[in-house]
Parts: sequence; C-alpha cells; structure tokens
Amino acid sequence: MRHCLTCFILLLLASNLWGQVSIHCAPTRTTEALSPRIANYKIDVNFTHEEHKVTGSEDITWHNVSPDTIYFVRLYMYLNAFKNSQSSYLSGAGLNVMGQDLSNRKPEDWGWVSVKKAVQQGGKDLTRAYVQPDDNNIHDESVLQIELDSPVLPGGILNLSLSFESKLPRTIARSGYGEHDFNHFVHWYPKMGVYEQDIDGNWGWNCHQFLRQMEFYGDHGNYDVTIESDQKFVLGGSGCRDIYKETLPEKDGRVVSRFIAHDVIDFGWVASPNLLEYEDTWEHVEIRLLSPAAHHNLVPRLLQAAKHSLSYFKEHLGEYPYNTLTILDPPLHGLRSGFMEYPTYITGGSFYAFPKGIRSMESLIVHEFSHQYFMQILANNEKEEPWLDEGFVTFYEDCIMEDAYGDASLADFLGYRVRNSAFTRNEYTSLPNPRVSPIAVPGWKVNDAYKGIIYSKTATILQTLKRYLGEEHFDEMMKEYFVKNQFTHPRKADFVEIVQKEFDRHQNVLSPVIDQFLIDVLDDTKVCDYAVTNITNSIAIKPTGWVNEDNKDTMTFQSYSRSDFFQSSARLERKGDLIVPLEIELKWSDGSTTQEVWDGIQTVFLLRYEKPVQLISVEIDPKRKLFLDIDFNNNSYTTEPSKGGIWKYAFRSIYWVQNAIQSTSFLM
Amino acid sequence: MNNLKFLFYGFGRKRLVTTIYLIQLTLAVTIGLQVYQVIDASIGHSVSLEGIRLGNAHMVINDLLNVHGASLSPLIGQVRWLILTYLLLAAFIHAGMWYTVIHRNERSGFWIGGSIYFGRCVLIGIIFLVLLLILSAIIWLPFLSKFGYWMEHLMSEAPLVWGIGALLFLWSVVCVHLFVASCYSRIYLIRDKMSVFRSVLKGIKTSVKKTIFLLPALMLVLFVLIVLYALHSFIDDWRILSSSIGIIVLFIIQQIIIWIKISLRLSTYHYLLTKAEGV
Ligand SMILES: [Zn+2]
Repeated sequence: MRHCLTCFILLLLASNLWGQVSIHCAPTRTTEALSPRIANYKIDVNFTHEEHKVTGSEDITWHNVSPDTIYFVRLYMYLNAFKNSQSSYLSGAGLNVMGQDLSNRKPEDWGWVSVKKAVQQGGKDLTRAYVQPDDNNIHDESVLQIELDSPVLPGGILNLSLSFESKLPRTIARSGYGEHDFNHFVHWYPKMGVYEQDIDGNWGWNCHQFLRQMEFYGDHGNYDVTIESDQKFVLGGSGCRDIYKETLPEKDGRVVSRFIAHDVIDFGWVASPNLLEYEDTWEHVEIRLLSPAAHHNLVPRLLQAAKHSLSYFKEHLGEYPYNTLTILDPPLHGLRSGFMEYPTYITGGSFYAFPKGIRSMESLIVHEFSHQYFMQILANNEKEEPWLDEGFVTFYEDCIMEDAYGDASLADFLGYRVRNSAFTRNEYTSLPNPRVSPIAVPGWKVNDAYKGIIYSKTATILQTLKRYLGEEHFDEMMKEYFVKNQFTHPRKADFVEIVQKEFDRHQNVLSPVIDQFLIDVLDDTKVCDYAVTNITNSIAIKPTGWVNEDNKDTMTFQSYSRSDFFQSSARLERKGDLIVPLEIELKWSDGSTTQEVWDGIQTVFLLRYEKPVQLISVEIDPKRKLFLDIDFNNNSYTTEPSKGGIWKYAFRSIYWVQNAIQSTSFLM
Repeated sequence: MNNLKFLFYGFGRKRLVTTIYLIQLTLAVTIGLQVYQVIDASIGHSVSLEGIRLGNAHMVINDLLNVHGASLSPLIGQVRWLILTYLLLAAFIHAGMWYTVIHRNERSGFWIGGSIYFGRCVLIGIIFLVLLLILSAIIWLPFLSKFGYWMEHLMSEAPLVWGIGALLFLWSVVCVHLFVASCYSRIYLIRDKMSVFRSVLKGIKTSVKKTIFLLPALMLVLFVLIVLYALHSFIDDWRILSSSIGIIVLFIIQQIIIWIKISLRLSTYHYLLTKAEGV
C-alpha cells in the first residue's frame, strides 16, 4: 500500500513536471535563447503506423514582432500537396511525378493534413479557409488562413491550439511512407507562415503555396514534440531525445518519445523498425546515425564526412550551436526521403557496396549538413531566394570535400579523378544556355537548369570571390555575414553589403568594379569568357631612308638594317558580356615573365611590345581566380604549345578503338 | 592444358599477327588522327595542353567538350560505324586465322581462308550475334523489368547487387559458351567442309559438351587479358610517362598489348583446334 502511494506521488510529480515542460536533454550548447523564438510549437501526437497517420494536438505560441495588429494567421499545410492531383504541386506535372505513376495510386497512397479544431485561448472553433496567394488554384490546400477571435497587438503573443491529423502519402518527395513500415514525417504539421516586411517595406504574411520548384521558410522557435508509437519503431529526428521509447503500461506495446529542439525553424522525424543506431561524438555534438543493416560498412565513411564538416565550419564560419545531429541513411525503400535537410536532422543517400573511390555519398552528407548553416541558422527564404542556401551550401560542400579528401575529392576511381569545385563549375558551364536565368530570383521562376544556376553558378561565384580575396579574408567576410545574420532571415542585400565592404577593405583587381560585378552575376545573366587569340613576333626594322637625326635639319641616309628587337603583339578578346578587370601574365623567350592588367572592357585588346626577346605565351588570369570564366582553355595562347598532351589523347583513342573492335567482334 | 605453352603459339606466327594488327591499327588511326586534329584546332595553342599532358585533365576536357563538343561528337558516330565495319572485316580476318591454323599455311593461308570463307563466316557470325542477343534478353530483361519495383519494395539493395553479380556471371558463362561454339563452328566449316547450319549445330553441341573442360585454359587467357588491362591502367597514371618520350613509350606499350591480344586469340584458336574431335 505504501509502495502504491509512493508510485502515486511520483506519478503526480511527473505529470506536474510534464505540464511545466521540464527538459532533461540539452538541445543547444547554451541555455540562453539563440534566436528570437518567434514561432514555438508543443506537439503531442499518436502515431498509428498501420494508417501512416498521426493525430493529436499542436499548441503554437507565436510572437508578433511587427508593428501591425494581426487579425488572421496563415499556416503551411504542405502535406496537402499530396492530397490529390489538383494541388498546385502536382497539377501540370502529368501523370508521372518524380518517377511515381499518379494513375496507379490507391486511396491509401495519398496524404493530407487537416486541422480538426482551432481555438485561441480556450475560445470557440475559429473560422478558417484555404487560400491561394500564388496561383489562385482553388483546389490547392497548402495554405490555411485562420481568422482570429481576438487580434494580436504589436508585441503581443498568440496562443493557438490546434487538433490536427496528418496522413502520409506513399512518398513522392521527402515526406511519406514506403515499404517495410518506413515513415518519414517532414513538413507534416500545420506550420506558421512568416509575418515580415517585404523588400518594399510592407508588412504581411509570407506564406507561399507549395509548388514543385520550391522549398521551405519558417521562423526560429522551440519545439517540444511527443510521439506515441508502437515499440517496434526506431525514431529519430530534430533536436535531442528527452524521453526515448518509454513504455506506456496502460497501452500494451506502445511507447512514448519526446524530442526537444531549440532555436530551429522546423522539426522532422523518421520512424522505421529496420534502422540500426550508431552513435558517435564530435566535441559537444552527439551524432546519431540511423542506417539499414546492409549499409554497415558505409557507416564510418558517413560519420567521418559529418565530423569533418563540423570541424571545417568551426574553423571557417562559426561553431555548430546544437548538441545533436541526427543522420538518416535511408534504406532502399526510403530512398525518396533522402537527400534532404531539416534542422539538426539530415538525410543522405548511399548504396550497398558503393566504391570507396566515388565519394558522392560523403559529398551528400557534407551538403546536407552545410544546410544547418544556410537554411537553418541563416534562415533565408528558400522559396524566394534559394540561391542563398543551395548555392552557399554547394560552395561549402566543395570546400569541405577538398579539405577532407584532397585534389580528387569527389572521385578517384579507375583513373578518373574529379575535384568537387571543378565538377560544380562544370554543372554551370555545361548548361546548354548559361544565360537561362539570373541567380537572384524565386525558385519557381527558374524552370530549366535549376541545379546549374541556383546551386552551381552561385557556388562558382563564391569560389571566384574566395580566389580574389584569399581564404583568410574570404573567411573573415563570411564570418561577419554569419555573425550578423544568424537566427534571422538574411536576404541578398545583407550578403551584397558585406561583400562590398570586404572588397573595399582588401583591395584587389576586382575591388573597383565589385558593385557592378555583383549586379551582373546575381541579377543579370551575363557570361564571362575572355580569350587570347593570337601572338605574333616579327623582327623590328631600324628606320630606313632619309632620317632627320635628333630633330636637326641635317638628313642622313640610313640603309635598311635589322634591329636586335622584336615587335611582339598579343590579341586578347572579350567573348562574353561580363566585364571584369584582368591580370595577365606574359612569358618571354629568355624565360622572364611580366604582368599586365587589362580593364577587360574592349571586345578586342592588343598588347604591343618592342623588346630584345620574343613573346612566347600570354595567359589571362593565370591563377584561375576568375572561376566563373566558362572556358579556361582559351584563356591562354602559346607559340610553343605542348603537343604531347594532344598526342597522348590521340594515342589513347587509337588504343581504345583497337580494344573496342577486338572485343565487339568476339563472335565473328 | 598440359602447360602454359599453348599461350605462346601466336607469338611464333609474327607475320600473321602483325598483318592483323596493321589492319586494326589502320582503322583506329583514322579516328586517332581526327582526335588529334580536333583537339589541335580547338585548343592547340592553349597552355592547358600542359595540364592534359600531366594528367590534370578533368577541367580541360570538360571545357573542351562544352565549347568544342560539336566537333568531337561526329567522331563517336564514326566509331560506331567503324565497329560495324570491323564486324564484317572480322569475319574475313578470323576465317583467315582459322584457315592458317587448320591448314598450317602461314604464307598465304590468311588471305585464302579469308576470301573463301568470308560469306559463310559472316553468316555464322550473324547467327551467333543473334543468339547472343536472344540469350542476353532472356537473362537481363526479366531482371530489368522488375528493377523499378524492387527499388521501391525491397528491404535492401544488397540482393540487387548480388543479383546483378550472379546474372553477370551467368551472362559470362553464356558468352564463353557462344565463343567456343562459334570457334568450333568455324573448325567444322573450314576443316570438315560442313555446311553453315550443320557446323553451327555441331559447334553448339561441342561447346555444351566441352566448354567445362576447356575452361582452365580459357580462364588463363582471360586472366592474361585482365593483367594486361590492369597493367595499362597502372602505367597510364605514371608521371614519368608524361614527357614527350614517355608518351611515345606509352603508345608503344599500348600497341604491344594490342599485338599480344591478337596473338592470344590465335593461340586460343590453335588450342581449341587441338581439342577438337576428329572428322
Ligand atoms: Zn541542398
């Protein structure tokens, strides 16, 4: 009896603590708030895996930091993109979306999210309706508008309680379920839009509908998420595990888990019975990798990539402020949920027996981890300015990979060696039309070449800036950008301002034109291509005929004679429309080199010299600082080309043709 | 197999091997020279050439393909035609090789055999190519048609990887059988003067019966080929071979490998002949 009483008191205490949101795990390094914590969520759900569904409650605490009184709020209802084929996400895509046949989908293959009840401070069920601010598609239900009973005054707090239900679709992209009870809950709950000033200074809801070429946007805040599930599941996601799979005695076979995430913009999680857990640490960070058994041999590779990313960012940008990092290495049947980033939770993509020399899966982990900085800490609007995260992430991915794995960072396989930054540059330079779109545009406006422009061209521009500034000053610039804008929503102007400042502080050949350069490469589609197209050397002739010497009246006759000098000239051309001042290196027949600077403005520029030596070669931008130039091969011209390289390829092609005809004729 | 001696049969027939080598070289040089011309015309005065000589070729080649890809792509079409043309030519060459081996006529056997049996050997070749196509389809199509479904539904990709491995093995077994069958068909055609269809049928029967016993020797040939391939990949990387002389040395090594491969083919033919049943 006494025992039972103790139990009762303990239970009472626990339930009391529960209500006061006491936290036992530490999601961030510090107990101080890192962010303004505008949108905060306490979510309590029951996960019924047979139906791939969660039902429960969501208490939102939202701070009105605007000068406006708020009469209605807008929430993202992303899962409704997969409710039917009429959603703006799926409509117009035809019957095959990302390899999924829409005509074959069963009733249970579709997904949705719905708010069953919405109340403000215990009031009545609030009026709500779906709105379509972007395309007026009345069938689209990805944005819900809720009219408030009592408006939220400037500086006031909104407490909104929702009952909601989220049903996962069979995965088309990111969110959804697959075979073998794989469930990926991302963008799964009603989530507040962002009330902010647009670039013209007007306040309003920034809450776009969910379109295909578009990612996400949200305010920083705290998440307290409790999930009741079947005990067979391994759970993982954003934040730290405050309670993990604690048995619920009254519900046989059910367990409860609670995750806490602070100062993050979103919360995602996975539940699957077929994941193994691997744990590792890096300084203060607990790394938890969830991976299928078949990938056991790949685990060290993935963990090493993650740890290298953490170190690189600590040194070159800023320390990772969270205490946890969860990595999902999806099993084959969950691969559609891979390749993505969520706060303190990333998903990769690897394959059984993947060759060690091909490091695309490491590169992917590095990429998704880099999003913890660009998207999460620097929470730019991924919908309107995707280049500010994807481009920056691609750039850091390349830097980290090259730092970790050296010259052949991306691939060193069967004689094929590829460096990340070279691969990225080529994704841009190999576009059929590199002028297809400017960078600084909303994601949905870049129809073709999204990867080549938003990811790769941006990364190539950053690589160019880094090469002009040098690593030390570039890092200094990026650290300033990071510190100034962390836990806010930086925009293009925030970045441009800091670049201008840094180029002003550390003068180099690009400094005088940096403002125009940034406009040209970010807002315009200008292409950079400079070339050296010819070199001539001819023997100079001394003056011949009747010559007035020293401006005197007396004329002397000088017969034809050759001088010891050469008249040398080089023809430089601007083939693109981007104008950049250029460093030029000239090599002479005596082995000496000289430097020139060309403003890069004229379409044809001639260099002329009269020297006792001949001009051997001219190279524009010899240090390859202008990484944006779409053709490096025409950047130089030499009168003594190394034809050995051509012969090497000619011989190699002879050899491979011989092999090809021998092998293909084995039955003849 | 007795010993490894059979491998060296081809080395002793230098004239024949060199003749075939020269035919193959002539065809390949037509492509090689064009590759030279295209690269020379595109980036022939660029300092970047130094990069490809030294093996830092990735960016140079990327830019070359991006900017001058249009002038290189016709070459791929030409290689395709060249392979098709050589398929026909190979019927002549292999008939000549078989005639030489069977009739021990190293002086003119190659040309005589080639001209007499060209038509019939083309027919045999086509029959075996069609057989290869049908058998490949039987092996791979069911797997490929299910691949998409498995990607979504399997617990792990490991069985897929092993499955591909197993099918590759099965496919190799089929290829070896077809190769042996095609060889014996020619022996029956040229040595025993059988008709095309009878020699093909008998060739297949012999292959089914004998391949298992021939396997050690065939594996040995395959092993030598793999060693040659690995050797080339290994030295292709050597910095020391990036000087002007080094590049020529590398070319000579490549050509020696090609020559050895032809002589190995001749050795294999001779070996199979010695294992053939009498008339
Ligand atoms: Zn990304």
